[in-house]
Amino acid sequence: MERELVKIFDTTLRDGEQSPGATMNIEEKVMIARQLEKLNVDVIEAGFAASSDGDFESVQRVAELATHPIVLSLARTKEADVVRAVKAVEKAKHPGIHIFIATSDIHLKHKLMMSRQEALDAAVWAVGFAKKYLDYIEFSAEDASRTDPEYLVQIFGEAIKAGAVTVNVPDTVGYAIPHQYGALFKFLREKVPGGNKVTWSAHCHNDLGLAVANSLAAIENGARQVECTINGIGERAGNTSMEEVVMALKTREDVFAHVKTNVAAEQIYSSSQLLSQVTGLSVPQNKPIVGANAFAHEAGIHQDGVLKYKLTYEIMQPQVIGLDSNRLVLGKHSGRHAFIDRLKHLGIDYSGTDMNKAFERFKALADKKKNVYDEDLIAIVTEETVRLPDKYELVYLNVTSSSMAVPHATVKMKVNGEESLDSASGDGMVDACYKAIAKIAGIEPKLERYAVKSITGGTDAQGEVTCLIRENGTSVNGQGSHTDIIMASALAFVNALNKLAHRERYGHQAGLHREGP
Amino acid sequence: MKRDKVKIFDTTLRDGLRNSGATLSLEQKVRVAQQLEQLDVDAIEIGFGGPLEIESMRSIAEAVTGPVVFGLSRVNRKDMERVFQGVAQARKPGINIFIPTSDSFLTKVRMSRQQALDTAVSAVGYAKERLDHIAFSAQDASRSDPDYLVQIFGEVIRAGATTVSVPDSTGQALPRQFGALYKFLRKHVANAKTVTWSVHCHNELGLAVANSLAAIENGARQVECTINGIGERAGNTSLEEVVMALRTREDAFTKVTTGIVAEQLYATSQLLSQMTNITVSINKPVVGANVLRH
Repeated sequence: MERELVKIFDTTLRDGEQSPGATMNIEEKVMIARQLEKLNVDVIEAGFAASSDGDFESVQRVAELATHPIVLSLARTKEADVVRAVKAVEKAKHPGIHIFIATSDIHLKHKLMMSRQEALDAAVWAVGFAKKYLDYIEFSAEDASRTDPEYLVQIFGEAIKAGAVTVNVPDTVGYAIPHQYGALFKFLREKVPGGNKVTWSAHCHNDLGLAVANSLAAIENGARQVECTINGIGERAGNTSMEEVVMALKTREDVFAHVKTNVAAEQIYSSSQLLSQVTGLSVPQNKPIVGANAFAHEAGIHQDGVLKYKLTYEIMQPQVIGLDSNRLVLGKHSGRHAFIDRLKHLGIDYSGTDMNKAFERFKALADKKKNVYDEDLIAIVTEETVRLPDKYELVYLNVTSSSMAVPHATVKMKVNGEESLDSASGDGMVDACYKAIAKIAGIEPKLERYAVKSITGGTDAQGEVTCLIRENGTSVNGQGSHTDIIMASALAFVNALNKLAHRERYGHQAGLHREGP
Repeated sequence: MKRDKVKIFDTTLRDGLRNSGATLSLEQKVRVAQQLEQLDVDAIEIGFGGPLEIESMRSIAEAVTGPVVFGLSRVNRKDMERVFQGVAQARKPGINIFIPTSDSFLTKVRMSRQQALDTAVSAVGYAKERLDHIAFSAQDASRSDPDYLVQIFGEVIRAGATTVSVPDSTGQALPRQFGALYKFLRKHVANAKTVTWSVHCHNELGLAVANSLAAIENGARQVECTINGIGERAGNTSLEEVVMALRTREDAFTKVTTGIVAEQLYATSQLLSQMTNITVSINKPVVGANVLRH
């Protein structure tokens, strides 16, 4: 029997970006979109065009580059939103729009201050209006899992009549439990007029740890699209993890015998690593599928007992997600060809990267570090990808510390190309260097979180520092990697300051960015 | 209607720490056990009956007053004796005896189904002469022949097991099938109503919590879980997620409740994270930093 396609709708660039500090600049979004195309997702939600000029531009860029997936922009039921979204995706090979309105009484009353009838009218009008410009229209009933099912029947029915081709039933607040969410799909697919000619979509949040289970329950009851993000990023406890849904369907294809996805599973690991590098959000070590421990008993251990153990416990092979058991790749004698070949093998898109600079960095790293692993390469390429012209650039750093003296840092930075030097003392080396950098930048953002981890094993491993800073209500993550953790800390802080500067240039309309299913 | 209690069986100190990379000192383990008591868990599994853990088990067992204290044991007498010694000082001592039941695991230990059955029954009988609280776990149950499970669970219940556990040892189960397995077992196992049915899940496919909830919907009345969901590979069922799902959706889980003191969840999560140096991911449900921002 032919398996039916469950479309993978990736919203890493829209809903995923709402994870605190996960803001990506346009070049970073383009890089992720290219990777999503390699993953062979069916739909990319590239942003919310009306929310800011930056979002508009990134939707536009993603629309231009994507060849296979449908590219969507989110829009409210307002004329200006729809016009902006349509404009942003106009150059896409497969353009689409995603229109949403809240349908639960609690949202209608407190957020929209609308009656059910008003929301229904607004939805129908917006879908009909968009249909004049675009064929591919998805309609979402925000907070559907807490909405009166009879009202859902009515609004979905009318939206379909007005031209929606995909209807989405979001569990916006992560409140659903699997058998009830599954039953809701069953009910809606039976009752909604025209329900058999559209694609039903699930969109879940992980507040109770049930996003994947709820998505699978929806699939069992006829959903043929899952909205999800790489690594499950998203605000609060995150969205449905793309890799978990895809691998659950694949690993248990004996049970999910009627369905399949188009996802190129061997791109999962690279995608996960790339997103982690770009956003500075590290992947938890026991994250299913892509966490460092998921296949931990794999790495470099060949004793018979372990192998037997592996076979009895392992329900998936690491190769399936593109994680090679042969992890050691390059060293100081590796040439440019080997470097590029490995990037190709990893499926990393480096088209926007200055390869001379990236290769120089690779050589510099290989001089300091005997073995250069895949994760190191991903870090290099991500950092060398052409970013927006950075406002701040670290030129020079000298930190002194001993048990007899107060830690002191001297820093030289370029600010908009102008060199500037300053120094500061602090409680520790990192504190001293952050204070010196803050003095030069002339702002004192609050450091909300700071974490160091090693990218690979060994004392010569690259340290990866992530920091979350906050200034005027905006949080951004900075990330830096270096064999010296003080340097990595400084790079992470400078990276965060650059993101902050970028945010100031392309500020989102206050409050608007957080909306959506 | 009075709600049934779903017992919380915490295995942070046993399955949670196994192959996790974290090593806790004895003092730290005692501190965790005391915190689990503040949470008011119903049972704590404090170690494994290998030769190295007797002293550690003894110290933890002495420090715990409320919960039943379990040690995990294979079916051999040496393991069992060590567990008896380890839990001897506990107010409520117990032993959790396991044997693999799936054909692939049985092959690994070179046993036939009949041998495993006989050994399990004999071990449970041996333990019953010494302790009241006897849990029996059929390792890799989710991949075992359900009819064989009916047989082995029926026999160990007759031999004295008071709790029977149906582990998804490899994390491959799916909620609907796993729930159906409980339903089947509770219907067909002899004297099923006289024991507590327990669920033990792993998170390979991100479904440990959902599978545990499906088991509860089908009659499980004990969940084996760990703080922050720590455990090897993708971890075990997260204690805090199961507890908060049952509590937040008590409108749907109308028949059950847990005795957990939810106000202690955050402190417990933080304590374990600091001791093990395993950070709680920022978007971890219930206890992650991003969740608590709101």
